[in-house]
Amino acid sequence: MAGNQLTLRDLQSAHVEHFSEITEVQRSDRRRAQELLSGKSLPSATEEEWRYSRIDALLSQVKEFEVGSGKVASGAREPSIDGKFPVRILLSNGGLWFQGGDGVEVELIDSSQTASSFSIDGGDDFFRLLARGYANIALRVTVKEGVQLQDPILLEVELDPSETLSAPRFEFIFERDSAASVIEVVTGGGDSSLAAPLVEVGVRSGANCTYSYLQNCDSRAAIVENVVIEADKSSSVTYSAFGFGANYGRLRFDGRIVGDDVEMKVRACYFGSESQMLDFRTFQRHIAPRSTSDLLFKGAVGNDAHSVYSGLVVIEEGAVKSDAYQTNRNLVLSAGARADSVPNLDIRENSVRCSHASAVGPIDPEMMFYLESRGVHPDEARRLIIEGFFKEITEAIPNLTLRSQIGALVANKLKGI
Amino acid sequence: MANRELIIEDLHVSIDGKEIVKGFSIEVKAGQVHAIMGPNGSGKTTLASAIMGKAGYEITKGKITLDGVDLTKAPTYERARSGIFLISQLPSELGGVYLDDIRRAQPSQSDFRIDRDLEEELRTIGLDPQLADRAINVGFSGGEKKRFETLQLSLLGAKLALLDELDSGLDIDALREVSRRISTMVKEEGLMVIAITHYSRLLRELVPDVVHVYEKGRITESGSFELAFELEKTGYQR
Repeated sequence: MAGNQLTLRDLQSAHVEHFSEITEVQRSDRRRAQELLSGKSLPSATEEEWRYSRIDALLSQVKEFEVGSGKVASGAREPSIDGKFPVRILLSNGGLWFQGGDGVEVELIDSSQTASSFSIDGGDDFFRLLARGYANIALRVTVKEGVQLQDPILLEVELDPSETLSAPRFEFIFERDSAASVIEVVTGGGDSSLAAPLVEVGVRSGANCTYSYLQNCDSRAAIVENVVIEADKSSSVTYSAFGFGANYGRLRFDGRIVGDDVEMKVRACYFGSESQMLDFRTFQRHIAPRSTSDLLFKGAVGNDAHSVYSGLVVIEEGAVKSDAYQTNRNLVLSAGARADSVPNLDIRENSVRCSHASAVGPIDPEMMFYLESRGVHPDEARRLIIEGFFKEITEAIPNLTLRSQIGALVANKLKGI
Repeated sequence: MANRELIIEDLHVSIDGKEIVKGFSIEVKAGQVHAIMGPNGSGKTTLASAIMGKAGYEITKGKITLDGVDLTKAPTYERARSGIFLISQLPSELGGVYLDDIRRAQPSQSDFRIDRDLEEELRTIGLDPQLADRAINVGFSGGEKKRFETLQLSLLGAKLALLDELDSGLDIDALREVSRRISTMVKEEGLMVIAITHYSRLLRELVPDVVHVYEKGRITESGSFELAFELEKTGYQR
């Protein structure tokens, strides 16, 4: 390809095996992903999946694929959110620092003899394959069987502002009957970097996983995050995404229910301003019967920001008595802002309950009038209504520090709109 | 309190250029209850919304003064702060917004009596105290909404209550309790009331000093309390 445009060949030649002790099982896992990737073309906005996205411009900006040095950061700085985090992972400027805790193992995947349990043979997303094949950093966190963690696991990713494409990979395994929460905070980045982190979460039988993802990147940054969650029998999952930063921020959520009696809750709140583009693509796949997935995404856009929500509920044959709900609501706060919402259902089984709903619109003038007729100044009324709109999601955040940080991010956005 | 009065003179209101209120005048003194009765489509709700300053309800002529202060051009929140309080027929539900948010948004906390009176008010109005901690009107029954609105009327220490079909959605007991609370404010605090209604049912509980017949955008007849019952027998087409 011409100019600075990144090509797959560039990626392959750029990749060097920087980890001295990569195991054969991991080498073959990477090779499989590399093969699959070689059959794919670069993502482009001409594809439905990338429609509305800024992917063409982003890929043309990126000059180098960051393989990462595999170096260890000199030490951990203070966590970006207050609290006690006995298990912590910090990825900053290509350097990695981590510590495990009681009942939690943290290891570099490349030196592990255990193969990934997450299949990539299903015609997967480009950036997922990229991370599986070429991740500069690949880390696995295992919460051991029966372990119940009190304090959250903190994963902090501080993106490099330089002209790179980075694709760190994180795997979380919640073994049988374990319970833990993870807080992932992604910050940093620059105007010519593109980050494509991959998070794969395996929630085994009877386990309980609460995962919160805060994307608060630099306003010039671009991030394409992939998350895959596989929930096994009688497990329970709550995944919440909070999108505030980045010039282009995409999240692809792939929730797979592979065992019976799973409860999966998916939440997001996002707020775009200036010329931001926040792009969400979700899948709720019911493969096993008698499970529930409940998705609620709420967003607001102001100034010239644009948000996209595109979601698909898939009920596979055999997934009888599935309950699946998918709701997306958007507030459009300025004439130049735009929100697109495309919910979809693909039901291949009878005896299921599914619903989808979506709404895009301005603040309800009746709500404004109500508050003003109680003596509330219009600016304040607007703030209360927008914050109130998000509270359905933010008030359910179990970690109080994260909750207050997200409240502050919403308040900060409101100042500029 | 002695000098309290609302004067509306020759009020004309248009929506999208179409005149709906066509010369409405009224004088309400402290502690008076005025009933406005009229057929469907006569513009009663438009009148209440215009007095509250709702966007899109253009006052093209006339004057609204409360205690001598001209509020004709004042924005809604200033009218509210001056003491006008509207209970709509169908109060809005405000997801994620709480009574405490309204309290904190007042220019002076002493304007809001929540701190000293909330528990007492909740008991008086017959409302489950837990509702005061829930998002405003969300998931409330019709009766709970009207009680909750009446609670705010009291907490905000309003001077004038505009009641738009207060009785809709209320059963007899609830109507009685809400009306009693408003009557007490009328007697003890000199609250002025303009009660817009179709039926005399409300007026048996909230006894008016004056009953006005409102048709086609203006008052066509005024009389005593008995006028309401006469209208019930004869209808508006007399």
